[in-house]
Amino acid sequence: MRGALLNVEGLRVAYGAVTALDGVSLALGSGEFVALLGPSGCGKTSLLRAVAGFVHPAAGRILLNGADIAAVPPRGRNIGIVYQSYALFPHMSAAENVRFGLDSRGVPRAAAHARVAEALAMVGLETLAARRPHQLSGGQQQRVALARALVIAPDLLLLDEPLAALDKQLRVQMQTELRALQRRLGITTVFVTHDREEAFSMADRVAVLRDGRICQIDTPERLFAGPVDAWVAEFIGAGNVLAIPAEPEPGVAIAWPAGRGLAFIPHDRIALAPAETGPRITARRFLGLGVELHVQTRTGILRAVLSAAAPFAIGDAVRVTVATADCRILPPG
Amino acid sequence: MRHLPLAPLLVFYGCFLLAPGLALAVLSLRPFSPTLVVGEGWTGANYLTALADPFYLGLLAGTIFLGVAVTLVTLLLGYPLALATVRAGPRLKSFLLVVALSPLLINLVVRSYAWIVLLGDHGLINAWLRAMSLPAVPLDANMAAVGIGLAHVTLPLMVLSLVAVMERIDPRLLEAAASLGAGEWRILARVHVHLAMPGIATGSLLVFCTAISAFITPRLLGGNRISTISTVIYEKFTFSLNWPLGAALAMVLLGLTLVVTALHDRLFRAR
Repeated sequence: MRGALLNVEGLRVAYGAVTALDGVSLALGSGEFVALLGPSGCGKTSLLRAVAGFVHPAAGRILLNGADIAAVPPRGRNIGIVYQSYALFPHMSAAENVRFGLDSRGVPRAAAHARVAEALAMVGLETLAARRPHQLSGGQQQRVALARALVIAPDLLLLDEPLAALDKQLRVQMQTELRALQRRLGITTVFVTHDREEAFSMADRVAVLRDGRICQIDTPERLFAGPVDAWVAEFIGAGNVLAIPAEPEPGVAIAWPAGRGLAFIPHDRIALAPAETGPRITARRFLGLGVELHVQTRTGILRAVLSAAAPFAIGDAVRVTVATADCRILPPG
Repeated sequence: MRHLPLAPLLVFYGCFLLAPGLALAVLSLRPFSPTLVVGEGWTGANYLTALADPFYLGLLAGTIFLGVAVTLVTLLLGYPLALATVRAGPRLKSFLLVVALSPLLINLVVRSYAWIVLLGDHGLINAWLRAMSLPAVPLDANMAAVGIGLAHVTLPLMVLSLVAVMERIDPRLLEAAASLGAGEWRILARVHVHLAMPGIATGSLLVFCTAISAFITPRLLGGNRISTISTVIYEKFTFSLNWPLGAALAMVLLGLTLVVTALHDRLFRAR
């Protein structure tokens, strides 16, 4: 990407004989929020650590604002980091933690004081400035870590599963707050997570990683609509991935595509009709705005999401219909 | 019944630590008799001598100074060694640990004589200095020689205490400090030293208590010129035969150790 804030080109990272990243390229525009999503061991954290400067790439380049930063140590990169464990200095108060980066940069006392107060106010912790980390809740510690990373006005913000240690309710609240703050500051952000919902609800673009490579990177909408292969489709939960049956099954009117590979059918593209015989419903999950039904076919379980009013119960026989446009072929991945 | 397995240990400590300790405490309260060694009756005179007489006060101050100096030297030498050990890969780590422990692998007396060979007026160090036409350094039977010898013996205690704590420091804290713009020295001074503080405290406690109560090293490396509380206690029991004063000095030394330990406990249990 031309004029990108962060450009990662052909990055390879290896720990001894183990290759963590194998030719990863990625470009982030200014102000963009990109999530790195993948199972554990996929290399997402290695990518973050290489950008931060804590691991040295075996090959490839990392450009920040167009300049190669290979020779720049972490302290010269002007990158803010927030960890899952928050990594707050336990012997310093919240305010001292936030101040650390300003002191390191030689910001004069009065200016530093004002910026610390501003950063703490930004995350809503102005009244808790004197508390030590162990006197703060997980969510509050997370805010201090965020204020500490942002007060230095970094060019890039790296978030390493920052919300994973919070309980579900607080996590959802923090997702919204974090994204609102990121938008307001316009700070380019890389967000590492293994939580699909989190990645898709927060990011402008999601990069799906597997075995040290980026399988696909796109907006959440386009990723869901067009996963590049069967693995991505299953991992992000975009739809059903099924083997194409050799012969037709009674009660199943799916317009199977021609060719080799696996068939991909989005959950909301399946029409069900009551029938005397045919595949049966094996599970029903109420989702609030809809209902998810599992239909046992000979090729596997088909998961369909219908409106909550759909008149089906477990054990019912149904006729399954999928139009040609809604069933396409995917390479296995 | 739950504590029955502890019985052998209690008997052991009771017979060989508590009972002699009490006997020593009783002895320290007896008057000195030039003919009987230990006189009849009770007196606090021995403690008055041990804690008020300028000679013994000087001795106490000198011993504490020696302990503090040895603690600082081992801290200064041990911190970088512990840091290198923690940061090293597995193979280098075992090598550095052996290096750190090496003083414990040599017999105390042999080690002391080895230091005499190095440090003496006609020892290796001064021979080299003379060969290079440099002024000799006085390291023969003085406080510096005793300090060097003690620092060598106690260094493993410091390094092991530091390594134990440094191993548990979350590396992400140091990374976070680096990403915030801090250089190596700043990270060390503002973050690492604070996180290593429990190890510094425990190591210092062990080294200080070992140094002030050491006997063989001051005796051999200090010759007859250097006295610490330990060497004077030995002298009171074997040559001048003033057992009550020797016992009182021993109790003072024990008291000093207990005070330092209590201080350590107070400072670091609160954390």
